Amino acid sequence: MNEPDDRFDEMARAAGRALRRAAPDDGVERVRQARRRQVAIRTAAAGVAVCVLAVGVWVVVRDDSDGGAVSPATTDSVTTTVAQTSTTAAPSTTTSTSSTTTAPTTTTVFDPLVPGDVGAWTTVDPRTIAANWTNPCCEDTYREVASPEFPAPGGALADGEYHATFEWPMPGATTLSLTVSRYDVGLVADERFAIELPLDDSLQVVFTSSASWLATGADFAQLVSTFTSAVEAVITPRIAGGESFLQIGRDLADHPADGFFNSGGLVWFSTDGLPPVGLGHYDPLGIAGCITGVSLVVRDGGYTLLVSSQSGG
Amino acid sequence: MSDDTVPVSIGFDALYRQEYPALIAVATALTGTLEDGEDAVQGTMLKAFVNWGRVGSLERPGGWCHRVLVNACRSLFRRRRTAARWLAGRRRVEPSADGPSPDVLAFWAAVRLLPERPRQAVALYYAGDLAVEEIARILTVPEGTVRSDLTRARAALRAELEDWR
Repeated sequence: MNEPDDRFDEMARAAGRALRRAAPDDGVERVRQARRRQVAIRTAAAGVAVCVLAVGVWVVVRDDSDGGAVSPATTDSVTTTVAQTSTTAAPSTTTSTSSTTTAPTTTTVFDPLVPGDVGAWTTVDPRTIAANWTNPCCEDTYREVASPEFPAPGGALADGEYHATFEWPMPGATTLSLTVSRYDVGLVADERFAIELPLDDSLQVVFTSSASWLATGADFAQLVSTFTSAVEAVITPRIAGGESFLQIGRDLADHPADGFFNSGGLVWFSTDGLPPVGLGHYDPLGIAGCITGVSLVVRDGGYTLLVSSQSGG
Repeated sequence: MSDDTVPVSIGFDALYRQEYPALIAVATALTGTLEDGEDAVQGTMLKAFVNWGRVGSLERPGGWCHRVLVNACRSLFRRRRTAARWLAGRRRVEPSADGPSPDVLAFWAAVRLLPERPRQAVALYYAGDLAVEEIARILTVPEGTVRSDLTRARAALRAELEDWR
C-alpha cells in the first residue's frame, strides 16, 4: 500500500473507531425480552390468522342471500337440507299450501369452518411437513430452519427445506416454474436456484388458507386454473371497466356472486371440491398474489410445495 | 483486526459483549444512523440467540452475526436509500448534536453512496475491523474481489472527499 493509501487507511480506521460503542449493560436482557415477545406474538398470530378467515367465511356465507349458490350455511354440520318443490318458486318450509312438495333431499357440502377434506384435498397439519408453512412477512423474518447449500447448476436439490416462489401457471400448464432461495435465518437473497416441477401426481402440494390441505400437483393445477377462470370472469372485467378492487370488494360484500364474497377481504369459494382462496392481497394487475409460494421440501428426492393464500378475513 | 474466531464454548452473553462494538459500527456505517444501527444489531443478536444451538457451535459465530447484520442492513438501506441520496446530494455533513465528528459523518455518508458490495466491504473493513479473508467469507465472494472493491472504493472516496486526498 503506498503512502496516500496508508493515510487514507488511517483516517478511515479512525472513522470506523468513531462509530464503535461498548455493548449496553442491558443489551442481553433486551434480546431475551424481545425473544419472549416474539414467541408470544407468534403464538397469538398463528391462532388469529387461522380463525379470522374461517369466521369471516362463515359470517358472509351465512348472510349470503343468493339462493343460486350452494352455501356452507351451518356452523355445526356439513349437511344442508333443501326442500324441493315441483315448481320454480323458492323453496318453502313454512306452509303446506304446496301440494307438490316432495320429501327433503340431503346435500353434503364443505364447510370452511369445520376443517375437513374437500374434494381431492385432505386436511393436513403443515407443521409435520415444514417449519415454514405460512409466508414470512419479509426477508429478515426469522425462520427456524437452515437450507442445504445449493447444488451446481443442473444438479438436484439436497434433501431439506427451501423458500420457494412460483410463476403463476398458465391454464393447462403441466409444469410449475419455481425460484428457490435458501433459508438461513433470513433469506439469502442473492442466491437463487431455478427449478421446474411437474404439475402431476409426483408433486405434493400443501395449500393453506382457512385450513391446510394436501393434494397433488395435478390438483393444484386444477385449483389455480379454476380460480384463474373465476377471477377472469368476475373480477378482471370490472377492473378493466374502471372499478377499484376496493369497490368490487364492497359490492361483493353486499351481493356475493359466483363464489366470491367479502369477509373483510375478498374470498373465493368454489363448490367444485376446491379449498377456499383469499384475495386479501389481490393486485389488479394480476392474481399471483392470491396464492404465493412458501417452502419447497425435498425428501428422498421427492418434492412437496407449500403454498399459502392470503387471508380474506 | 479483531479475532472473531471465538471458542466453541463461548456463551451468548460473551458473544454479545465481544461482537457488539464492531457490529454497531458496521450497522451505523451502513444504515447512516445510530438508531437504525441499533435496531439492526438488536435484530441480529435476537436471531443469534434464537439459533444459539447452531450459532454457538460455529467456528466463527462473529462472522455469522456480521453476515446476518449485513443482510439486515441491506434491507434497511434499500428502504432508506431514496431519502439518504436526497440528503447526501444536498448536505454532505449530517447534523449531529453528539457523536462522531462532521468529518467522520461525511466519510460514511460518502461510503453509503458506493455500490452495494464495495459499501459493505468498506464498512466491514474499516468499521468492523475485519480482515479481507473474513469479509470474503461474509460476503461470499473471493478475497481478490474484496481487495478490488476496497481499492476502487478508496479511489472513489478520495475523489468524493477533498480532505482525504
